[in-house]
Amino acid sequence: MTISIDWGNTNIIEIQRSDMLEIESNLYELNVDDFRKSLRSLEQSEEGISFPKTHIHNTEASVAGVTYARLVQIINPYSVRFEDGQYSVRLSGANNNIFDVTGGTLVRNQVQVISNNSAGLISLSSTLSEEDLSKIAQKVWNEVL
Amino acid sequence: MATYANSGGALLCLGDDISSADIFSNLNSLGIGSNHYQDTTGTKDVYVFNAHIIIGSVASSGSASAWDCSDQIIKINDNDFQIYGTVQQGNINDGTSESGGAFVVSSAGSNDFRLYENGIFRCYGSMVYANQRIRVDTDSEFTLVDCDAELEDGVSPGESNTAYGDRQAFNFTRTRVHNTGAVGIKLYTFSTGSNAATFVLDGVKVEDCTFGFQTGSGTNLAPVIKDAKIDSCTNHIVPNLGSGSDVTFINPDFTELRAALSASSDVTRICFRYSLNITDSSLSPVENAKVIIVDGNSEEQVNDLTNSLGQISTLPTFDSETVLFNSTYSGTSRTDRATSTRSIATYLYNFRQDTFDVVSDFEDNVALILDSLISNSSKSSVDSYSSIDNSFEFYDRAKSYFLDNYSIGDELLVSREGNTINAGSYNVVIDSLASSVFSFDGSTITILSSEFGGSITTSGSITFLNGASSTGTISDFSGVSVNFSINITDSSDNSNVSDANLYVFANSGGNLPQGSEIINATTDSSGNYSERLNLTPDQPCFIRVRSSSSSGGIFYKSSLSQSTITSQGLTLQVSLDRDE
Repeated sequence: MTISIDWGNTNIIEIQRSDMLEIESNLYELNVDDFRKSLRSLEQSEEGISFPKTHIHNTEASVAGVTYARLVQIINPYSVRFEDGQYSVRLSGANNNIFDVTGGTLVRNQVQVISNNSAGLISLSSTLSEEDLSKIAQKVWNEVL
Repeated sequence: MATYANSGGALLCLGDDISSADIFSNLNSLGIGSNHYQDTTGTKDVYVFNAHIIIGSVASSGSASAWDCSDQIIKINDNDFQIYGTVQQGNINDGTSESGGAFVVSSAGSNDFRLYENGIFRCYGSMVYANQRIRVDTDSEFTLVDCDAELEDGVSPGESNTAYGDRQAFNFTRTRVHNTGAVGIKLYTFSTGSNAATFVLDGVKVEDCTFGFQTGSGTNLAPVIKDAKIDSCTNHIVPNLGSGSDVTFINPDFTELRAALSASSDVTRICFRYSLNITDSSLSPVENAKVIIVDGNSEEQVNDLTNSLGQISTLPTFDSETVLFNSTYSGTSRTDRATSTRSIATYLYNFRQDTFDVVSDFEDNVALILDSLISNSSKSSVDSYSSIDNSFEFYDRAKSYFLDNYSIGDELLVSREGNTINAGSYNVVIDSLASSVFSFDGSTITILSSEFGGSITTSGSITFLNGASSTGTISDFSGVSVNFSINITDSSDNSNVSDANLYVFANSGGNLPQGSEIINATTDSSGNYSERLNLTPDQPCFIRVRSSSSSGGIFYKSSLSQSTITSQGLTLQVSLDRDE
């Protein structure tokens, strides 16, 4: 892979179209596991060693005979940008946040990024205060009169 | 029985019992001279002889013709007074002079008062006066003990480079020579070896003379004059005018020579008795201490080891007296040697160096103090070290080297505080392949060591060669250097992680700006990396370790830890988690 990182400046991880597997015309696939390995190699390079790591990786986990997918999460201050063009990229091999435009991970251009994340069970976090939660409980509580 | 005869107008006295009374009566009876005087009513008999008197003859010399004028006052007024035999006034009883008197000769010219071959003139406890030079010929003896003498032109075995003979003996013991218009005591000899004139000057005091001593033109007299009190004289000495006969004063009452008539080859030494006793703090002699004494003219006087008595046997010695020099003179040109420096170097004891002025007799008793920094009391053991691996060995070996190579002005190469060697301004090379265990070339100390376990500080440089290292703090001209050492393992199996990339950078709170790179390196095949760091402790830091390979190797998670690099350096071990 010829992935490059603009270390210490924009911190954009640049992915070339040629680095991905062409599935069909204008549809490419990025193996996220290979991608994160490339990032590890870049991190430990002479140039990259002085900068913070690019991502968090949680490997696959087997629970009761089911293998849960690995997770790759690009972290601040890094972001990902695909080589600009009118094509689509399908992310495979790991749940990830590469497609996350809102969170600032993906630098948006003409490329359409297709996430294949699988979330069988998700955890929610709340920004409600204890007071809010108490008020809600009062409203929905099936009180015995 | 003494005989007295008129010999050409002189009274010739022969025999071993010549007496003043007989001389007086025979002068009168033989009609020699006139107005002779005798007074026997006082404590001491008084005789004045106005005549030419001859004591002894060639055939009846020495003790064969003896005039004992003890307890008498004798004055001879005439052109000549000649002694072939013996004239004696007083004697020594149990070391003390007794029965002295006075002996005065007033003659017309030099040498009229004369001792011929085997002639003897001895006075003990007397007043002696001669208005002209007294001539002393071959094998004659002139002795004054406990006398007060005014010999206006001295007593001489020769004059003006002309010898009066050989083997004359002069003895001035506990005698005051004073107020002479010329030389107080003449130290002449014109012969060499066993034919030379001999002088005994013991406790002589020469006062208020124009010249205290005069050396003649002989070549081997080299008089040693002890405890002379001659500073009241106008000039201390008349040198020998270039014949090379040195004069040595020991403990005189002056240190600035006043010499009349000199040549540059005339050497005069002014010195004082000196003895040295070196002991330990319990006053036991210290043997094999290296002693160097350099005089004030930077000339080495002593370079020797002490004997079993803690003394040195090679001090400058004159007539059995060990001395140091106050000054030496070539003619009247003075070389000041008074300010002497005495250095004592030993292995077990602290180096001692003192400076003192040689202006009086000096018994130098030095008690050495044990060197508390020595860790191995056996110098031979220290000398056989195969390497120097800590500061204790370093100091011991440096001290041994110092002793073996000591010369005046040298100072200890290093000092030690705990496990830290202070090499002053010398460079230090730690070489695992050094050809000798310890060497010094005048500016650089080189030790043989693969891993030096101590700390070193110097304002020079510190260099590690051939893989040598140090676990301690290294402080040199470039700053403080501490050892950084890290080992990286795989947390899954504790195997070493080779070729891991290491990045150490500054945290806040240290001398370096936060984020400054300290190390950017790679571990070796054993997962180790070490480096000497030139930085100021204590330096907080982050240690980042990464190891990943895109060519089939093991990927590890990035590791970031923090620590502080102290004056003792930093040694740590990091375990990497696999990132699979």
